[in-house]
Amino acid sequence: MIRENSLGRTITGISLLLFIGTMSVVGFFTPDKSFSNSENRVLEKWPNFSLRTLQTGAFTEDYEQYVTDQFAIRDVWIGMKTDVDRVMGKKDSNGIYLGADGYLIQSFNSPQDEEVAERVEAIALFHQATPGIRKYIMLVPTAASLLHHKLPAYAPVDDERAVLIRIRAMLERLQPDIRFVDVFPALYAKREESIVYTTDHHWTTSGAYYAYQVLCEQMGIVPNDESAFHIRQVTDAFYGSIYSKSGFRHLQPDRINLYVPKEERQLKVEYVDEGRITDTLYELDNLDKKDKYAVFLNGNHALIRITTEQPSGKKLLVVKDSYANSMIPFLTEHFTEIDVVDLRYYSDSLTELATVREYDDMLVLYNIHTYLEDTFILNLTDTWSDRW
Amino acid sequence: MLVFSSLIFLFQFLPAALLVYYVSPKKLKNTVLFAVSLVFYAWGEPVYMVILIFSTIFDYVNGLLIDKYRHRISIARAVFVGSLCGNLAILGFFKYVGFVVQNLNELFGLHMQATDLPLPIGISFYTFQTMSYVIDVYRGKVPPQRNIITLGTYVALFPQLVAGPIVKYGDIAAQLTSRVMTLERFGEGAVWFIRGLGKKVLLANNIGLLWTSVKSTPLEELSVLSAWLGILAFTFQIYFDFSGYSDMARGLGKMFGFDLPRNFNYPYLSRSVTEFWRRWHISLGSWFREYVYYPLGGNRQGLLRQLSNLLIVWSLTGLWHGASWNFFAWGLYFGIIVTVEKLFLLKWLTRWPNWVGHSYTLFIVIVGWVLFEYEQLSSAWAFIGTMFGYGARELADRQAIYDLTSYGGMFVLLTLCATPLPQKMVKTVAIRWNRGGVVIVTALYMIGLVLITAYLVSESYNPFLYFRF
Repeated sequence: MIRENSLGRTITGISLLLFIGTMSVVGFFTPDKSFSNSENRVLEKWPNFSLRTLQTGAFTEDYEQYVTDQFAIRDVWIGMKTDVDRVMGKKDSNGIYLGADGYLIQSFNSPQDEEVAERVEAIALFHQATPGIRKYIMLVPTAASLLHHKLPAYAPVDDERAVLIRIRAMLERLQPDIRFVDVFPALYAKREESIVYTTDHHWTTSGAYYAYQVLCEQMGIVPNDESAFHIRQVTDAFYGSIYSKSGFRHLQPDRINLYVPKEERQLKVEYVDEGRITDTLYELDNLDKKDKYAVFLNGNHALIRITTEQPSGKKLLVVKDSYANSMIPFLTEHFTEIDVVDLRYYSDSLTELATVREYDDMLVLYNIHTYLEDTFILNLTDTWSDRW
Repeated sequence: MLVFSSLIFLFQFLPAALLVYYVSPKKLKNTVLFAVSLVFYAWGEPVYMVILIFSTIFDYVNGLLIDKYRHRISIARAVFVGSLCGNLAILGFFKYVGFVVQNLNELFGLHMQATDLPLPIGISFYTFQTMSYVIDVYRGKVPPQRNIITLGTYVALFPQLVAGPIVKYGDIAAQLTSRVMTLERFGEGAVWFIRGLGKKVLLANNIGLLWTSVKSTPLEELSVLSAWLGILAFTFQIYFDFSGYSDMARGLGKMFGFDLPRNFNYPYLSRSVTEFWRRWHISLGSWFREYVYYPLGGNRQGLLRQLSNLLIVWSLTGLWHGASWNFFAWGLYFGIIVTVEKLFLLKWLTRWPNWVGHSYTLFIVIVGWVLFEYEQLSSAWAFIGTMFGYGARELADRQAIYDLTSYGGMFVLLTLCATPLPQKMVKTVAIRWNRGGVVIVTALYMIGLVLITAYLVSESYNPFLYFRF
């Protein structure tokens, strides 16, 4: 017995040596990667060495980060870790819950009343400056409420619906002219269809389609029937943002569908910030990249100007986050010109733009998370030059 | 300073250190170990290496002087006292000046400026070691070390440099000059090391997430259940973190041929608080016993003297953990309880069933961790209040039940690992299946190591709890 124990120890010792020895040699010969797709970030490069950086500790700090970032088969290790976490009963990681049916769901925390108020006031204030434009605000609930039943039991996630109701009440008190487009009931009714991605924080094109129907009803226009579109699957290998954020691995990827009108129409899409003009709403090249959702309108831009052949002559301003990118294609069926502004990038005065362009309608479209977290919405009426 | 539970230590420093150490000739091994330890210590914060080296040289000289003037006791005593003062001054300057100044300011309404220096890592550990050297030499327990490299190896020995165990010079003097290095001993070290690494990376770090989340929740939003889950999480976290580090130290020591003492012996299984402190951070307790409690007279000068000695030792033990009143309170808390046990409680406890002692001890220790964790005594009180329903919003809320379902399995695992059961199982397997058992046990350790690597790769941020002591 004693001999066996001693043999076991010896073998364990040798195994330890073999393991750390092999891994360090493998690490030495593994070529460095500059970017991690699954984490969506730049990996640390070999740090600059100088006596100064060594003395301040900057070198050693960067070097440690470098060793971790460039560790051989990094993604495999990370996947193994979250798998073990799952086995141990862990159901969330980095604020992302692992829900039923492979749904990753971002947590939601109720905001303070003041945070809600200042955001509503910003919109009301903008309405005072531009009273001639009919305004609609659509705040999109996310999987945290739509797929509440798929969350792990007792997950401490706050109620998005209650916050939406609070915002609506506040808005109606402050500026009843602004229409609050409540898409919750319509989306919730379709919760068993795939209206949100399982690995990304966005809604799917079909989710956007249902919201578009609600918007049309509010705007008094007749939405196009689903049968008017060819539903075209452009990828089935989309791993989105919350997949990266959570670190959970070994999940099914998402598919992205495009709703292409059966009746072909010409349109002009001008990316004003880049000075680039195309004739399509979709950038198919982005399907080969990490962020495949950028297939819609090539991601986020300060100002995109879309001109269609639609004869009404109506002009729409959309102030939005990325949720709008997959909904705007539907709206091109009803407006002659659509200006799409992302306040996170737009540096000129929006009031001025609105005055010059003489829009008929304006749509504020955010998902409830961005709306409550993004601070740029607070400055609807200012310009960047005022802010800084 | 490097951290054992980091990729850079595990896959670069350790293999390199072992390689240089084993290929170098016997005569140079201490030199290599000393150099390697300095690199380990200097990593990231090279400046403080100066203090470490100064301490070493200072007490090297003191040791020689004490020995030289042994026949003229007054000189020897003067050197000895000078050495103690020097060591305590270094420790005091870096660790306690800010605290003392702040309190003087508050007490007398002064506006003195305290230099806000970051605490040199491991200073509490290595000053205690150099002091033990000088005291042992002065007492004539050991001859002075004439080779400064050898003394430097003792002070800077990287396995125990930052988090103990605090090795008394007398206990390790012989090993400094001759040690046995066999493959089996190395393997024994590997086993201790992997076990310690697992405790730290797989257990402590993971349950630590729960405590972090509870501690960052505003107290008025905390339910009673959450407070208990949180402090239980911390109870496990600090044990597996610290004992894991001690196990790694012991394992690394063995890999380099040293036999460092055990620092933890399943403390949460104790039946009294007195027993708990014989099983928790054993080397610190034994240091205070040998160099403070006994010299003060211990229990040989009457009950009153013994009680005051106990309180002195325990307050110092508390303050050793950090320069803040909460650590003082924490130490005093245990001092009072240990005193009460000495007076009568221990006798009662032996008469009562075992579970009473276990529950009582755990209760005292867990409440103690609240004092340890909250720097403000008022916050500690408020938290303890919540634990007992005073000021708590509700008994259990969604968050608490969710945490319970998420960490339930983990808590079971942690409880098991706080007992000798896993160890016993490993032994049983090894005995029952002979060669097969060896394969199984080795495979288990290797799976553990692979999982540890996975967790280390996943955590870029990996602070060690006992860093700033």
